Amino acid sequence: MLGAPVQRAEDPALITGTATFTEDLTPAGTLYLAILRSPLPHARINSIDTTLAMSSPGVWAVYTGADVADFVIPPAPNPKRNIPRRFALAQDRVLMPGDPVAAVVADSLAEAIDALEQIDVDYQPLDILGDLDEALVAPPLHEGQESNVAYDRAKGDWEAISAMDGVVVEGVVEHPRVAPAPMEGRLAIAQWADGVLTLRITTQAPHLIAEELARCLDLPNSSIRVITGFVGGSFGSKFDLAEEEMLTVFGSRQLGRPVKWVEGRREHLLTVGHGRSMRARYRLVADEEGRIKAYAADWLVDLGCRHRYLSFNTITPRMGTGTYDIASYAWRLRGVWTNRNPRGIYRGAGRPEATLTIERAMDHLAAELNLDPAEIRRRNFISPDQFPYQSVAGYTYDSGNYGFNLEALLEAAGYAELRKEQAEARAEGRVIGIGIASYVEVCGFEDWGAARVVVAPDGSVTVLVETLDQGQGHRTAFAQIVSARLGIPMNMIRVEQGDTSTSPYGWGTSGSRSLAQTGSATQTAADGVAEKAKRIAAHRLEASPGDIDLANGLATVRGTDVTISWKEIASIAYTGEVPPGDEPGLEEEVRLRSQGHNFPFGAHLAVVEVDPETGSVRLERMVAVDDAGVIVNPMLADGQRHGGLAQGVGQALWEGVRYDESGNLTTATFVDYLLPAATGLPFFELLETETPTATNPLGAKGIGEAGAIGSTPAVVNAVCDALGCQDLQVPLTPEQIWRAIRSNRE
Amino acid sequence: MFPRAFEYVAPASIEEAIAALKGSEFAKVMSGGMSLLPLMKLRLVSPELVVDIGRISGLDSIDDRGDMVSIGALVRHYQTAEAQNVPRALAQAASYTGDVQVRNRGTTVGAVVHGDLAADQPSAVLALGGVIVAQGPNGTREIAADDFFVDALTTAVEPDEVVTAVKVRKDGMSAYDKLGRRGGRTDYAVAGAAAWLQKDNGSISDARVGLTGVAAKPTLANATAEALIGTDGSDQAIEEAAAKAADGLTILEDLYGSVEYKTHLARVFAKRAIKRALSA
Amino acid sequence: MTVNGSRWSGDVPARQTLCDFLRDELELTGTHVGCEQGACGACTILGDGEAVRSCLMLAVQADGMELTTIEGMGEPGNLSTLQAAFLRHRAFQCGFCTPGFLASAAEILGSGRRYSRRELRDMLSGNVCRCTGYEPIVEAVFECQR
Repeated sequence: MLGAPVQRAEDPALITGTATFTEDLTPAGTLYLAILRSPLPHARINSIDTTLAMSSPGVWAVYTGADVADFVIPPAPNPKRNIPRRFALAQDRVLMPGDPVAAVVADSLAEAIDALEQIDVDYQPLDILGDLDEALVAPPLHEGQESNVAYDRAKGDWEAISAMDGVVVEGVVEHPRVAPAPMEGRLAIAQWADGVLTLRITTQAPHLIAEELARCLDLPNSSIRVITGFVGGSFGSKFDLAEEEMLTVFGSRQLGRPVKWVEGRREHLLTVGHGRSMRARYRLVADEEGRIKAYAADWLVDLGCRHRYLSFNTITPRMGTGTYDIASYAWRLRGVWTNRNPRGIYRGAGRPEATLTIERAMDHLAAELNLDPAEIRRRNFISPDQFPYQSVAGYTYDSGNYGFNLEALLEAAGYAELRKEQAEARAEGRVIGIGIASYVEVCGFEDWGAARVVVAPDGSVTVLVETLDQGQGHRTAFAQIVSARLGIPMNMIRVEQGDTSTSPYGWGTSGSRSLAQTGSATQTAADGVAEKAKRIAAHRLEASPGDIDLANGLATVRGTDVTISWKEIASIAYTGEVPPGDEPGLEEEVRLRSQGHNFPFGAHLAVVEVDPETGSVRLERMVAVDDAGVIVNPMLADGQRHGGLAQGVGQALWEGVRYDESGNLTTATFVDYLLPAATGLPFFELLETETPTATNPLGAKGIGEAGAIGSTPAVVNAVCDALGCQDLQVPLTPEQIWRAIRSNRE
Repeated sequence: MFPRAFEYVAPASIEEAIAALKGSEFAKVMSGGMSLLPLMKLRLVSPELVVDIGRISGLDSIDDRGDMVSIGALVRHYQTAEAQNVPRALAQAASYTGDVQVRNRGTTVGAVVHGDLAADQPSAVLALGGVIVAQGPNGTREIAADDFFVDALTTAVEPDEVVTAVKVRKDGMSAYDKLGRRGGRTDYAVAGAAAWLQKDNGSISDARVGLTGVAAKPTLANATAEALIGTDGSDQAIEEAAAKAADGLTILEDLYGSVEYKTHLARVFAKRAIKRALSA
Repeated sequence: MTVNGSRWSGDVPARQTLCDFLRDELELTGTHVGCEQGACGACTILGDGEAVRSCLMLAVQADGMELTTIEGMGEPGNLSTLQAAFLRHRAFQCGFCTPGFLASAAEILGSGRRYSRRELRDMLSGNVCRCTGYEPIVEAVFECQR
């Protein structure tokens, strides 16, 4: 069962329109909330007149900043970390385009939106902070802070690296903002009864939402129940609590009615936590043979105007050295406030920034030394005998075999042949590029997972988990694990998630942790159940538990045909005679800590053709060799890889959040924010290597984000390879490429 | 996302439609709604009255009218794209418009009347010497495409007129080509061009080139057409003529390109459209 | 109008979009709204056999039309050939965009013509899927052509 491409139990519902997404629910008496958003990126609010809106048809309430001044969205302000307070509605200033200014609750969404237009706000525009370098020196956005630098961290001897002799390459790598843009936006339905809040919300982490709300409302966790149905994709955007959910909860409590908020797509693109949002400067020093002597990277993070969950995270510099054995490393990471929406989490969350930076630097170095990009990597990989590898940046890489993985990629892609074809095409005036990228990432944050395996008296099994499947197929993967451990068919197993009143407490789905952490906890819980089931069977069959095998829905005394069915065992557990020393029942809850982080890795190769006249790029091939350790369900794993690749390619070629000179968002619809479509993507060629991890009992590593980490640098390197230049930035717009071609010719 | 409230009528005849338009301060004619409804949902356009001409009979055919072919106001993009008697430039432009769903609902006439600078079919209609047939309270008038596109999203249709058809010439050779926002030919155009040519005894006797996505409105590249006429249509002649595509025009930048790049693309696509027309 | 074979008649507000009508009035919540601007195709349904975006149609425009939504395409125990192929190829993950893809694919298959994978990619580009990278969707539709 493990390792098989088993289909998902929930699929028939999803394919027939019978699966219930949160938006499909409308409790009796539901009122609708709509939010008035700032048309300006930075302004003082002189006054707000809500009189007309209050008398607009269907309106129940209009809220402004003063109404919600008592509720601060976590994390709590911390002067030491320069965290400003975050409210559900602007207090006296708006700090970003789309900042929530007022909220209307009405009988229908149409009436709520109509009433928004009746609110009169007098704004006094203020200077904006858009460009990162300008923000570094501009007057502080937040009162009481000395500058716009929220934090400034550094490690390593920058000066020594600056003075170091050798072959030196330096450059800038931009990581512009991108929008997670799941097909389903955010939304929430809040309902209060007897002092208990029930929040139906589309999220990745129900318990985290409940906890944040409890802190915000000063309520015990037990008074908050968060329920999540089917989720239409997240990619990081539905992890932490935001203003809108808080307003929904507030409105519902004030009015004593269910209140529903559904994010519009324009609202999503304006206010969702954008990913990436960095500028990197690198310096790579090597000897004449291309062996790296030192690496230095300076990352400037555009935090936007307020903090969110990972605003202060240091994954990027800590993964900065990638798959290479680098002895001398210096990094600096500065978070800078700007008049943009808070930077948030998006697939990869910190690792794509690290990878794109060093993989560009490696290609730059290869070009400088006139070495093949594959060769420069070979000469610098951490070798297999160095694992567990203590990176200079502070992480312990659990396992890896980077050279083997890269060779597998080159062979699968027919690399030598490709280079030949490239040369021939060039002779015909066609511009072809080949790009490779090697990546290693880190998974297994929040280092434990939780699962409960409950066997009913009839033998059917419910698995309750803290993670939240949004399409990945956890329900199937976890059921496969339980099926393999208990020796019972998949159709006897049901995986439940997304209700904080029943599922064990945990961190939810993020950072590619679900299978490695919670899958492992599920396996260990199933093992606990299996052990007890064996004891019960042995007791009944007068055998030793060590001689019992569980398979095919039976417990069999090894080497005999003496059996008892799984159903009988379950029945005995609740109504029969359990062995001495055991209590009745058959269930197990496990919180399992992993032994450190796991480090999935791989290598991606892209082939592009550039139209030299227009600068337009066509991605012809995308080959990926990923290593996520033990694969539980290859069909599900490939799904994750495909989706990640498409998003990584999207970031390389099309996706980019853009603002105009006055700081307003210009990519506010999907007509302007360009998502990958079927027509622009090639068929993905996938292979895998398998280097298990010892950090968890499954031997599995994260696979959710890998595709988005390696593909972007592979595509960028391919286009740089085609053009023979080193300073292209994502997204690789036709104009940028056309300009590069033109300056090459001059 | 809800439009502001509005009145809606679906008249059975053009005369009724015109009467409805005349009786309103701010009315919009809707056929497919592919351009109008997004704007209304964003509340960027909020008519008091929407006159849905979708139920008027007799507007859904493509007819030969002498040396012109007439495309009725309810002819969908996909019909224009697939019809045998539609000149190639317009058929190609229609086939690159939006996506399958847009081509199923949106109309060629609607795209022309909307006049979006990044839409494909207006420049094809320009190149094909098109004529826009508008009916109003005082009868029917024909507006040359050359005079039709006034400014950004502004055309010469009066508020109480209904455009019933667009006519384009059947003779000559024509083609359209473009660069879409995600590369390829789908999506709104970053830039594009339509070319129409006539050849006589081996030389080009007449030519028109329309441009998409580079100026405030769909625009003719007259300098290119003039330079092309009288040449033999060789690659070099085309190259030289296409180099003048932006001459005399005010090229505008947008999210997808600077003035310099758009100027370059005007030349590239003028060239490609001309070559494509000649290779027909 | 006729929706999934059932006749419906009544009044609708002029500004109600077809997708809101289907979801709110008929409680056919299988049709999803992804972008509201006609750019993502999640709301695609079949109108008189053609793939149309229900977010870019007013409900009143559908007067007299025959509509098929995801609810009319098959049931969990009785899947259409196309749905079964989607299932086999795992042509969806979160499933939010799936009803729209099924409608677009139904029109393609209804034409009776056979398209290459590359052509199918072009024809399916009015629908956005953020999860799958499209390949299994293209494969599922391609397979159903045979």
